[in-house]
Amino acid sequence: MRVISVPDDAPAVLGVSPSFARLRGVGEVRYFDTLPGSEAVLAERMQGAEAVVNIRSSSKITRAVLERCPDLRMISIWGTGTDNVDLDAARALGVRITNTPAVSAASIAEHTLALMLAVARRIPGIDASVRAGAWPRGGMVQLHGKTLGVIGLGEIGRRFARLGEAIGMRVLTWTMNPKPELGFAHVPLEELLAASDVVSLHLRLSEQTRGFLDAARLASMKRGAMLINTARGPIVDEPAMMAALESGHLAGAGLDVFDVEPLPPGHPLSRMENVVLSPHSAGITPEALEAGLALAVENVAAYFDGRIRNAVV
Amino acid sequence: MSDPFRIGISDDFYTEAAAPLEFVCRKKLAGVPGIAFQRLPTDADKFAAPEALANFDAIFALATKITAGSLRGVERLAVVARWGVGYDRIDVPALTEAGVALTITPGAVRRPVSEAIFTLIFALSKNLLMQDKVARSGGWRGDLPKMGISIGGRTLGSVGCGNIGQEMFREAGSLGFGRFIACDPYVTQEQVKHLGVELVDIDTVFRESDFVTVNTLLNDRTKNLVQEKHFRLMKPTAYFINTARGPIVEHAALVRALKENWIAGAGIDVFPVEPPPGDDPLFELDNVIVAPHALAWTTELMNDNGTEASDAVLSVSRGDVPAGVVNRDVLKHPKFLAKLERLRK
Repeated sequence: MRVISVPDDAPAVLGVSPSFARLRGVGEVRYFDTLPGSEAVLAERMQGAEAVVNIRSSSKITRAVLERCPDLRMISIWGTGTDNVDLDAARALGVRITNTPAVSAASIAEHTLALMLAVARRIPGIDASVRAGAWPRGGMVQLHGKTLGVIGLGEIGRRFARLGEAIGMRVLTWTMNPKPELGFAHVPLEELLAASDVVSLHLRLSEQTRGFLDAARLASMKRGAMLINTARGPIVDEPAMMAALESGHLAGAGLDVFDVEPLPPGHPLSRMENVVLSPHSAGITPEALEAGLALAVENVAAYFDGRIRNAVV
Repeated sequence: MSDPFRIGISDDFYTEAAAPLEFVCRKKLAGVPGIAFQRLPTDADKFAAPEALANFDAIFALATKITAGSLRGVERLAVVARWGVGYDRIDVPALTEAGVALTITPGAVRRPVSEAIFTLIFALSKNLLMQDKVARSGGWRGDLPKMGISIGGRTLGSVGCGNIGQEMFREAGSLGFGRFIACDPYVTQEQVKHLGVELVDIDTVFRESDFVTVNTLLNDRTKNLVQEKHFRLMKPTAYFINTARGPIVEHAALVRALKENWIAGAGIDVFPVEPPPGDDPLFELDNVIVAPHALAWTTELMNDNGTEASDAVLSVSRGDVPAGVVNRDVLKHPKFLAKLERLRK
């Protein structure tokens, strides 16, 4: 039987998942539910394995580790980040690398909707007021009939745009590469920013998108609009965004991502009442984690069948 | 007609809804020939006395209390137009007997309430209160006591499938839920088939839903409708959402269900008494989101309520039967017909 190593399932996620039985059906599994703690132990745990399912990004799969594992042919990473693996070395040594993209898209789109609704209905603030004995009525924002501007139409952006339509919003979109086949109204960026009651960001962070929503673009948004960011913090000019929230130019923001994460204690955003924050957790639901584990296992199975899927290298 | 059609505006509008009242008076009533409107004084319990009601043809009611006693000797009044859809503070048979129509504003409330329900469903599912608290206090996702859950594929249930329930299911149709179930003795399967709703009994709604929502009126049949036995039927992972009326639910049973984790959490916009006392045990619990019976209280809701209520009142002022009548029997009542006849002249 072909040997598969799981060197780093700590705390255990794969070992307690239904996908683990499937993995056992794919090959002989050598399973470790502690962290290796060192490159030497990591390499030892991978010895003799043709495939590795890498659970934790704390396991640094360096050139040295790869060179000590001559039987290794593929690494299936659970997650989308690949920075814990030396991809150049893997390429040079003929080791294929796969990851599990898009499994959390549905969860992130739902989380984006949750943030948008919570900002509109002042959810954490109103709950705290009522618990403190107040009875503040009126002034809620209705989203039905309002305009939602979705920037970026990858898997997450297009799902969120559909959710916006579901609750009766008029959806405008802008992407770097327009996708007319999706059927959304695609407009120039300036028009989207000027017309939208809510702007939601769904771009990948790159050198092109760093600082994308800068002070000038924030200023071109409708007065009293809301901003939602579940993409990456640096896509927005954070100080300019905070100034707009303080001046009232932006009525509120729902933010899952920040310039510096975790958000440093005492950060000005943590004292603002017109924002709803979450700790970069939009993609973390049991369903998304399970879907990722299932895909990581299927990536190994596909490789053993001679078909590579979700290859990074 | 020298004597104008007089609309009495219940006191509480001036404190609770001044802006929408101003909007509606300006947009709908100002400048309409033969129409006059003025404040209707009420007591501390918002009770409208007969002396106050006697001189009006129509009343705008917010939380106004109107009983049989309110109507003693009141001959002129033709319509009470409530801004909203609940009428648990109004004695409907007494209105009918006095030949007064009661109108409500179903068109205005369904979307804002439906959106309020989704706000609670998504905030509860994603555990947003805790997420916000952790992020603000320098913690991070590893510090979250539990993950948010996905909505996809889950079962949305409703106690009541009328105006608001049906709107909720209509919008939920594209939000990714897996199944819709509801109980409602006044609705047939045929009427809700196009929404993908299965009509079931109340126990099934509680037993099989991941989200149980309440979308029914408060009346003698629904008071304390939701009891301990219903919460005991719910899945430990399920959420309970009440944006309808507090007294529909036995509050002590709800508190117990949350305290003892029979259910995952609750979103509560309405209370047995409003505002609730400061020591309401719900306020001690971290698996509940509370709101001040105002989660649906958007600018659009109040303006639309007022527009719909004004349309009803203006119909009556022309001697026409208004839309949104609750007490349909009144439409055949000689007293009411005589009032319409007089107004037509």
